[in-house]
Amino acid sequence: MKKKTGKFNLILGCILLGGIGLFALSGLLFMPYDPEGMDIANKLAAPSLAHPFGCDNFGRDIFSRVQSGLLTTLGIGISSVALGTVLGTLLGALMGYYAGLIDEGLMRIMDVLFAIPSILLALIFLSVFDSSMGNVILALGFSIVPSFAKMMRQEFRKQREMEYVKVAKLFGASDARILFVHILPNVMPTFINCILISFNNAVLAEAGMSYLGIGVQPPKASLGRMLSEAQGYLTSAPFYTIFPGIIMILMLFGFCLLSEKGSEKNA
Amino acid sequence: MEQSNVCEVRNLSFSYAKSGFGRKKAGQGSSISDISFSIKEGEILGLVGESGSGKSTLAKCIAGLLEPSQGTIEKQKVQMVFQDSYSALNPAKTVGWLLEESLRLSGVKDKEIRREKIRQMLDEVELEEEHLDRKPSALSGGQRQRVMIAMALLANPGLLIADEPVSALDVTVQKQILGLLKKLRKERKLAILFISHDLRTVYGLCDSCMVMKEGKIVEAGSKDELYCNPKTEYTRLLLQSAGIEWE
Repeated sequence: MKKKTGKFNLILGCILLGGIGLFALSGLLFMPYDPEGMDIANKLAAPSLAHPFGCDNFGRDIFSRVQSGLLTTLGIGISSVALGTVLGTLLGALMGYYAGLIDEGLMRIMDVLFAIPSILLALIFLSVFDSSMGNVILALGFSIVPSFAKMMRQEFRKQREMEYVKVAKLFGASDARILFVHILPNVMPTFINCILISFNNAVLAEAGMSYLGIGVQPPKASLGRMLSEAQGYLTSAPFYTIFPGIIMILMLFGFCLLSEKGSEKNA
Repeated sequence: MEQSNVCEVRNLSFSYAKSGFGRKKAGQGSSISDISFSIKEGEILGLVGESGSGKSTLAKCIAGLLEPSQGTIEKQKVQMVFQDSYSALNPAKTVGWLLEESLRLSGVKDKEIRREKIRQMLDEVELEEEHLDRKPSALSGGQRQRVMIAMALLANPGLLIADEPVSALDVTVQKQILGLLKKLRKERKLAILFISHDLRTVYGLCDSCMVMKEGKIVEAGSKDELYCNPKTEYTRLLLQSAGIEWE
């Protein structure tokens, strides 16, 4: 019974993410309108055949803006998770494998970072530097590192005691080789799970930051940015909120289902 | 005929760092003190003793996994075969990868040469080519131990330390592995330090033998000397408990 739900979750998650991925891809190939092109005659026009998702307060086509906003959000998510994964795995591996001073020192720094909500850290970072796309990615990437490193540390700590690590040492494998060629494949389930959860957090955080007005700057579209702009028209033009919102929810839901599957396998 | 020593140990001591109150930390082995012996080319030396007598600590010191606190070890290249082949083989890798890794790490860069050497080694340890694509968990205990031996031999050691290599296997498989070790000794002139708590296996395999107790070697000598004419009380006790008559 439990196995069946797990498989169902996996399939549903894949379908959702596949659909979202295709939608994003379609944005790369074809957008019906310029997402930043204004057309005041169509201001807040309701969904129609010409504008399937309707138009926003500047008469911009919401369908095209959702497409381009999704691309922005995915782009930011993927690059910040890549950054966080590389740094987090590196730190986690070092901390877990070399116990002692390195571990203690780095762990205390992580604890301090953990105590401050990561979105707050990103906020501070972005208010000090300007909120260009690159800086948003940096801020989000770094905010992922502490939790990622902590999870990976635990796994590497466990693997370090295994006999096969001793064997690799005996054959003369370098520490880097032991860490990333011998141990890393053995912690894959946790590793993948970490990536999925981080991605979810990054997308949510990006939306939150855009909503607060410090993420992606107008007129560029991102899903969070659109939601923040749409809130003034919640009653007069609900479609403005609903379409970017639904896309976002489906995407996050998809990642949740996949990571749930991963943690089940882990247990 | 005088044969050269592949390993000479002089006055070797090792003690684990104690935690606060002088107790052993979890997972630590036993200390050893003032151990001297040598192994000749092509010799199989047995090392027996009860658990906690420091056999594995001595093995790890010789293999270079532990840094001795005192004494010297002169040795050729040493490789080791572990008791628990299940955890000693990386569960995420295939047998083929593991064997190749052994060659890669001993500096064999050419892929074709590696393939060739592995093929020869499979014959030598009596494994099939189909085993190469399997994960260690899909093999039997005896097959895994053969993989361990193959990995060790591919690194071309002068001395092979076998730390309780057959204790986890059932009797028929034990016999095969012991036969394999004997064959390797004969064909490669490989020296083997065979660690076991089972005096019967040691008798069947080794040329000479050492008895360890509480980190010290209490008796050493050729097999016949030791088994037929034990000098210390402790050795007699061991033989007695193994049900071996010495007179």
